[in-house]
This record gives sequence, C-alpha cells and structure tokens, in this order.
Amino acid sequence: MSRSKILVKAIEAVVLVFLCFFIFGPMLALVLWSVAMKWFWPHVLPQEIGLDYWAQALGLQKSLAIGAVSITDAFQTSIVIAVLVVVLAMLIAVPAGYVLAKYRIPFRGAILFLFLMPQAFPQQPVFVNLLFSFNKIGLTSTIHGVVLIHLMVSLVFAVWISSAAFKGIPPELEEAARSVGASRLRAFFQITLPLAAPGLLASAVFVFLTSLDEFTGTFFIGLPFISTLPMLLYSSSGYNLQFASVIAIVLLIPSILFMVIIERFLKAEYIGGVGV
Amino acid sequence: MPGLHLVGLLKRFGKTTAVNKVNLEIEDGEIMTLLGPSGCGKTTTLRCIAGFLIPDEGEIYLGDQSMTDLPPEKRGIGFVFQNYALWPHMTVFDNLSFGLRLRRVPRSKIKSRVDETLALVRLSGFAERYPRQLSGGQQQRIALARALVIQPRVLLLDEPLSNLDAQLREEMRFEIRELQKNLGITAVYVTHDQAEALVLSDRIAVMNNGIITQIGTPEQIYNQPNNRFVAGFIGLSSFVDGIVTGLDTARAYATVTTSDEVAIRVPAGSMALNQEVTLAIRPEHITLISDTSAEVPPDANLLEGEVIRIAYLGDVIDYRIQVGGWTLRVHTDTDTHLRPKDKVQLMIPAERINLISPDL
Repeated sequence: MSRSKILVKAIEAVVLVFLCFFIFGPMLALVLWSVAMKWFWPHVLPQEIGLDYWAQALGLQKSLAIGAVSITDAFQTSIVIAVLVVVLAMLIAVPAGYVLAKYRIPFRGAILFLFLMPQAFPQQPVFVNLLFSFNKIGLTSTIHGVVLIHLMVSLVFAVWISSAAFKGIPPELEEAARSVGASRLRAFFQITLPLAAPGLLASAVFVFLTSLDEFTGTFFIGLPFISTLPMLLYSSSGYNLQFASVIAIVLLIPSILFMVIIERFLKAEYIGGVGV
Repeated sequence: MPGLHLVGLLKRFGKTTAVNKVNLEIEDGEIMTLLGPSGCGKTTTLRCIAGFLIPDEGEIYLGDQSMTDLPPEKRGIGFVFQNYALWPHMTVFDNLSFGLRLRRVPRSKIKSRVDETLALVRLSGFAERYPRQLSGGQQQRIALARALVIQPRVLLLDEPLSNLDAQLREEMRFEIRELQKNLGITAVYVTHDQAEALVLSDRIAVMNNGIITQIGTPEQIYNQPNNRFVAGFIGLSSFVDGIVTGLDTARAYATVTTSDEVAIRVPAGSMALNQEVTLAIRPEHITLISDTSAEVPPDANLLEGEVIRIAYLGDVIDYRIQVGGWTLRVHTDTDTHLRPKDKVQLMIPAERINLISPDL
C-alpha cells in the first residue's frame, strides 16, 4: 500500500469517527438520560440506572415518586392525527401534484404559491389568528382542528414533492399506454402511479414526520384537551430530563423506521428523478 | 387494411400555427414519411393522427371511418416513440402483453402472440428482461414490438432511430421497411433525416412551416424538387435566378438568362417567355471539363468558371466554382486536383436542371 493511500484511509477513518460522534453522540446521551435514576455532577456516567422512567411512561407502573406519566394516550393521539393527516394530504397532493405537473393550467404559479402561503408568515401570528376563527366554529381542542392545522403546515411539501414525482415521469409512458388501448384512468393507475410511487411515498413519509413533530400549531389549537407527544415533551423538558429523553426516543422510532423503509424502496435513481 | 386520410388538418399552439391545413392521403399498406426540419409540424401532425393532440380544424379518416373525435385508445394505432417509452417497471413480456390484456385476449393466446412478435423483431428469449437491461437498439425493437403486437390498423413512428448510433440506425432503416412490407401495414414515419426518408419510404411528404411543400416518391423528391426548400433540404443544390428569354418548343428547351447575361438551356416545362425562374442544380450533375476535346452532348450547357473553394469530403471533392456573379457547387471524384483560382469549364446536361418557382 502506497503512502498516499494510507493517508487517505487515515483521513477517512478520522472523518468516520467524527461523523459517528455527531450522529450517535446525542442519541447515546438520550439513551443514558432515559435510564439514569441518579446522575449528579461531576460524574461522567449515571450513578444509578434503571428502567423506572420507561415503565412509568409506557404505563406499566404507577409510582408517585417517579416524575413521569403514561405517554400511551398522547402517543395514540399523535399516531391517529398523523395517519389522518397523511391520508388527507395525499388525497389532495396526488391529484394536485399530477395536474400541476402534467397540464399547463392557468394560474399554475399562483396555485403553487397559495400552498406556500401558510409558510410565508411567522407561525405564531398565523396560529393565533386561526385560534380566533377556529374558536368561532368550535374546532379548537378537537382532533379535527389539529388535523387541519397539521395539514396546513405539511400540504405545501406534499404537493411540491408529488408534483416533482409526476414531473419526473416522461409523458410518453402514459401516451404509449393510451396508444395500446388503455383509458386515461387505467394509464394513470397502471403506469404513472406505480412509477411515481417512490416519490409519493417520500412525500407521505415527510407529511407523517412533520405531523408527528408539529408543536406550535398543536399548542395553540389542540391544548388543553388534545395533547400529542411533543406537548408532553415540552412540558417535561428542562426539569425532568429522564422523562423528556424517553419521549424523545419514542418520537425518534418512527423516523428511524421510515428511514429503513425509504432505504428499502427508494432507489437512488428514483430520488434522482424526483428533483425536477 | 384501410388507408389514412388527413383533410384540412390545422393545429395551433397559442399564436403559432404548427400545422396549417394539411391534406394527405396515405394508401393502404404504404409507408409515408413526413420529412422536415424541427418545428416544421411533422411531429404535431403525427400526434394528431395518434389522438394525443386534438386538431383545431380538419378531419382524420381511416378508410371511411372518421377518427377525429376518437380518444387514442379507440383508434387502433401503434405508436413508436423517439425515446422508446418502454415501461421501466414491467418486463418485456408485460410491456408487450399490456395491450393484449386490455383487449381481453385469452391468456394462452397472449403468450403465443408475444412470442411471435418478439421473434419478428429478432429478440426471442428477452421476455423476462427489464427495459433497463437492454441496449438502445434492443429497446427500440421492443418498442416496435409493443406497437405491433396489438395488430394496429396504422403504425406511427416518431423519429424512432434518432437516439441510436449511426451504424445501427442504418441497419434499422432496412429492418423497419422490411417489417412494414411483410406485415402490409399502413405506416407514417416522421424524421428529419433525409437519408432515412429516402431509404425506407414509399412516398415522402416534405414539410416546412406547417405545410406540405411536396409529396412524391424518393426519386421524385430528389430528382424533381419543385421548390427551393425541397431542393435545398434534400441533398445539395445550387440555385441560379434568371428570366426565360427564349423558347424552343420544337425541341422542348427554353433558354434562361441570368442577370449577368449567362444563357442556360433548360427543359421547357410549362414556362412562359419573360417568366422569372430559379434553377436548382445538383452538385453531382455537373461535370468539370479540363480537356476541351472531351465529348460534349449536344444538349449540354458549357459554362466558364473559376474555383474559389475546395473541400475534401473523403468520397468526393466539393468545389465551389464562381460562374459570373453566382457560385455552383460541384462534386467530383477524388482524382481531380484543381487549385483555387484555376479556370475550369463546366458541363451541365439540360435535362438535369430543375426549375422551381422562386416565390416558394
């Protein structure tokens, strides 16, 4: 092995170690905190570890001595909301993305801009305003209200990513299907949709994670009756790092699962096709 | 199989008229090429026939049946795209059987039809491959097979060979023509490549600016171009403007005199005295005569000129020769060795000169 090769290998190793440190370091800290029963300065590692916070959070144990409550209800609420948001967002984003990608419709720019509007202003004023109007029609502190808020936040990305997914598919593929006898609908469902699926899946994953993590809108519209995981995390962070770490890890699990799914189904060539 | 008729086909995109009242009759079993530069309306015409575009005016008939209002899937056409447009998520077998399944062909028959068609394009045994596992030439043959397997009434091909390399392109020309003749299918072929058009067409329709400027067999188009565009687009031509100054009706010759007083004898055609005409002369129809004792046919024109530019093209030498106030291009074999400023004599047989109307 030549000298320069050894040098390159050494640099690679150093970079890898640093990467691991930056990616897994914070996660490791979370894991440590979630099992730390006693961890006082200046100790480098917890003095006493145990699964009490986990047991408490998962509702397996109810002790008043441990500063953690069951997160199962909040977890359920979070998942129900996220699934509803994904379904609704895709019901809108798939047709909208298709039409925006394939047809030269009038006001195309204006429509895309419209989806961007909620993101174009500072979030708090938007939500405070919505709080007033939602109050009038009884949407505050309801699942519907929170779903609507999450939809508003994530729709712009859902539509844009879907549109890119459809744009990456040459129109000739659909025309070829028409020419051999497929109706417009059949050509869409058997040719275009399967080919756009990886991009649409990416869009759905993005919406799901956005909804799962959404804080500000849920805080204004959902509380006090609708409490999602980020709400619990917020109320416990700062003074109860163990409980906050448990919630943070629970919130991380879906993200990691989806990374695996994306890795499994999204080949690099598809992702390349999305960026049109 | 019935012929295809276009009547007054017109298609606009915004303010530009892509296809301007095109009339075209394509006979049963004929392969017709739409030839022209990009933007001439040839692809738009083809897409109107396929039903991918709806014409603003005009009718499309297949036999006696009007297809103008039918969606693409009801027209019974096969379409071959420039970029192949194979479905990447399906195997070759699924690509071919897709149209058959839509037609509710029984399963056992689908298998045999697909196999037959794959044999036709000489790709038997490729059924389980995915398109990305095939070369460009193979992909285009599969695309052709997919269009043919449904037994279409008309085959439409949109520059199918332009993504292939030169050698393969030349082979595929013959293959496509042979296939079309064997199946006896009516076909419309769009290309901007004149060599392709000359090789594989029964007739060529040359298009420019949304109109068909000339229709004819490859020989007619090449030897008797009737307008300046065709003469210049297919093969090379030198153009000379002049006025008819004499008519010899007995021998069917006319004399055309250029602005610098050079008299050229041409076939009379239907010319009138004092009419303005443009002459188109092919470079290979001009002979250079260095030896004055050479035999000159009685009807030939003899002109004096001076070599101004020389280009060696490998198979021929391309000379530009100044005659009076205009230049002629001459192709000779590579044995001639003229130099710039050499004086030469040119011989042009009268019947090799084409008369075209100057306004087109």
